[in-house]
Amino acid sequence: MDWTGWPITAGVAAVLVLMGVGPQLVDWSTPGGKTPLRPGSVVKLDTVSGRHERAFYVTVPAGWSVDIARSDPPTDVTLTSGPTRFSASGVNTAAVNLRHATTPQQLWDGLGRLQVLRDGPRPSTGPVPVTNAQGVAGLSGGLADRHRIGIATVFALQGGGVNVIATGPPADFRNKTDQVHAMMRDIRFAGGT
Amino acid sequence: MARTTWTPQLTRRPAFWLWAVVFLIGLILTGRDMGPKSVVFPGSALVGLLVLLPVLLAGYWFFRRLHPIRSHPRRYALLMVGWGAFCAAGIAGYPNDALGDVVKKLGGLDLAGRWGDAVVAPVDEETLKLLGVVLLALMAPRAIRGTLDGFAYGALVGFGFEVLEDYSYVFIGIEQTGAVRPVPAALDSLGGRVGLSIWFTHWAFTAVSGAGLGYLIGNRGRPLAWRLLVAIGAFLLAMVMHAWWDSPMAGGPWKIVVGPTILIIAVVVYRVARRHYLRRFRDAAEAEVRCGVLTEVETEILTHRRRRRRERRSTPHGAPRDLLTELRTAELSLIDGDLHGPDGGTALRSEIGRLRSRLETARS
Repeated sequence: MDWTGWPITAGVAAVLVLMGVGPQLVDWSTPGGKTPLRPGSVVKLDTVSGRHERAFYVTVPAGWSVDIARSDPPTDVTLTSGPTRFSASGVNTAAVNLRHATTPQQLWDGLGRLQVLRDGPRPSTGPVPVTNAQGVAGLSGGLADRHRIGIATVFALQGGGVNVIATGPPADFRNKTDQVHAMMRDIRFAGGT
Repeated sequence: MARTTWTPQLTRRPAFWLWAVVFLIGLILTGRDMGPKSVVFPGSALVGLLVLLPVLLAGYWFFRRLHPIRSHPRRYALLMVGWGAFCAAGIAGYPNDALGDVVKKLGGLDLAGRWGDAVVAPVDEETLKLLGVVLLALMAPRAIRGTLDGFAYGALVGFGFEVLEDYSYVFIGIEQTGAVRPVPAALDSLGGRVGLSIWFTHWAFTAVSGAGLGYLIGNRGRPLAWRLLVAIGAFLLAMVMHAWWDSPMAGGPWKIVVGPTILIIAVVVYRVARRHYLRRFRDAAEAEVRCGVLTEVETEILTHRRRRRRERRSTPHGAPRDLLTELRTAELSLIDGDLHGPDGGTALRSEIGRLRSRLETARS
């Protein structure tokens, strides 16, 4: 048999197709893409303060689930309620802001660039200062594109921070604005400010 | 004449066209992924290219020269680097994401956060990379004639993969730092990956699995079952090395141990393969000396790349130097043929005799 001919090459092609399609099929056929959370559940994530990991917590209201595919532990989680999404990401700036503490404005400007990269809704209304219950300073502003509206909030810590983005179709998002505001405001950091 | 044994008509083999189709798909997917990122962060993209292109060239130069007698042909080496970068690395993200989701669903987010990469990446990335070496064996059967060839081509695939992965990590680093300062984020990511992990990772994994494939293809004198066992064992070892590097154990102080251990495994595999090859090479050369085809001096010259270069430089330009190059190439091909079973040895021996007398005439 000429092993350099079509049969073995076709076998390699079949393995390549299997590599491309197989994992997707296994993913689709495995249940558990959305994990519902009980009201009042607390999701723990990690960010960085100085050069040390520092946990932060998101308290979840009724009707929200964890979107498994869009969550990347231990620093990123995406929660969904219908078509509305709420994503919180720990940011580590320790390696790039060696001399200065990270400011909310730096995080806000960076978040705008990342939204361009992700082709997500862009900042539409200028950010206003906010603080969480612990007094951590941040900025919050509106997001919008043709199909979605939302809110973005950033909280800055020394050497890091948290980016929070909530977006959804206008009708659904307006119904959940209060919940989203409450989730953003209730973000807490281990060790306070 | 000898040169044609190293460069057959690739395009006549279906495996080449499979390589080409997958390369095109990988190129499109990579462009779709990296293109917008490079537009949004042009400074970081430029920094990434300025750092990684010289690294790629250095790795290409180094791994081509892993063969102790003569460098691997450029076209095969380029095919393998291209496969690693655009076919394996360009495509691996899709099965990685899907299998990563499965791990998250079955094991939970906490487990996936710690062990997800160690479970998923070795399976699909090592398979995709090794398939490139398999395709080379199919499109150019004389390219992989033993463990050492498989090691070198595997290393080239792995290195291509690694460089493209490092480029993608430029943008991952930017995202992880909130795009606060994109260029320093790119430099930080490149510093960690080019300064540290590039020494221990993909090139070493695929070199080991490629060596197993080379053993399977090249050692026809051994039973097939044994060769298959070695090849499967090498592939599994490559996956274990990869899993170890991606595991939580590789974090923190253990990193000092994990990386060098991977390097040591790859170096040991290389040294064993190299020693075995050189022993067989010398045996074959001595047999040709006994037949009167080669001289003792020629055997020594053939065994050392540096001596061949020195000899060529000391030969006058023009016909003598061209003839000398042809003679040495024919002699190397004769020994290669001796090493790998029945070949056109008789024709080559006559050719060597003709070339030698023409060289003597040209020199005089």
